[in-house]
Amino acid sequence: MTLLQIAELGGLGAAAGIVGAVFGIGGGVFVVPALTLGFGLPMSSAVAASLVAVAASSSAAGAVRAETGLADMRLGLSLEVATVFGTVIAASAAAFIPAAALRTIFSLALVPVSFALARKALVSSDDGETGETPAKPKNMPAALAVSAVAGGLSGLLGIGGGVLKVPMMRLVCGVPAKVAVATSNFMIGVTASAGALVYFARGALPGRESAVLALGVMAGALAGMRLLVLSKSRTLELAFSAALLAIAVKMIL
Amino acid sequence: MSEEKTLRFAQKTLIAGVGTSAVLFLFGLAFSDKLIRAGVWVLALTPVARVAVLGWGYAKLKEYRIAACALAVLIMIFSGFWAAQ
Repeated sequence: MTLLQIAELGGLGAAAGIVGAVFGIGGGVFVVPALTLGFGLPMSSAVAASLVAVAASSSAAGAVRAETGLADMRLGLSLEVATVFGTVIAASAAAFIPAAALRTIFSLALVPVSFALARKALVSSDDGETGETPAKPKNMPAALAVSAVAGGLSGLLGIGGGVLKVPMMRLVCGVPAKVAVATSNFMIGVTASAGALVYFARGALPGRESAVLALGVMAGALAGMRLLVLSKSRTLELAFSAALLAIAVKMIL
Repeated sequence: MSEEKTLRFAQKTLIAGVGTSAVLFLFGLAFSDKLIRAGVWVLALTPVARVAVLGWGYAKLKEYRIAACALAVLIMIFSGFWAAQ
């Protein structure tokens, strides 16, 4: 690797870390296309490196966030049972499923989610700033089903699955925006680890690229955490819905 | 052990994991790919260790349903790794 490549990969990682920490996603939706198109990595290597980056993002952000107590660990652990199940199955079957077709379906699914989130942020009188997770989160069977799908996409596409988990917790379980983002950030690390270990066992993980990317992500996630604490939930939700729409368009194109 | 202590211990686990893997990556980039592989191992296992700490903490708090969820997650992660080898 040249110094320029190291700088570019580190910068990509830092950007993914900031986005991941602020929006509760791993940033894999940006990292995987950048690694395949920009750095010429094969899809399986890009997915594996992205999963390591997502684990780095979640761990670095969680090292700060746990103290603020935003994440709902009980909800996160409950949903992770379904998510990890989906991840392990999908990562093991990744070689047999056409990722391009799945990516199109995934991006089409993001569009209505994006509009639903924006509508909720604009119409709802609850600004989500001081809210707490309901004692019993609503619609757990539906939430578990979405979590399993998010886990499957994580194992196949190298994403954390936060793009589905945050809206799901917000819209299906009735969790406040900041709690959903923080809980998603906890969950995506576990999900990504499950997938990364499967790729690692297969020998599909590019070490040097993963290391540089992860170092950038760690730095970016720490900076992103400061932005999250300072931001307002409604602004966050509108920005997240716009980001989802942009991701969907990019994945279709 | 209170929930606050469990969360704080989980946080320390994350700090240790992220810090160790960062050091291994930096030295690995300068000296050896083996150190990079070790760093990837540490980083991939850091969220797993966090789940183990949380599961243990919630078991101590007698929240057995959440502890069982953590155990199920750990079993699935290691089963997936073992099956992929």
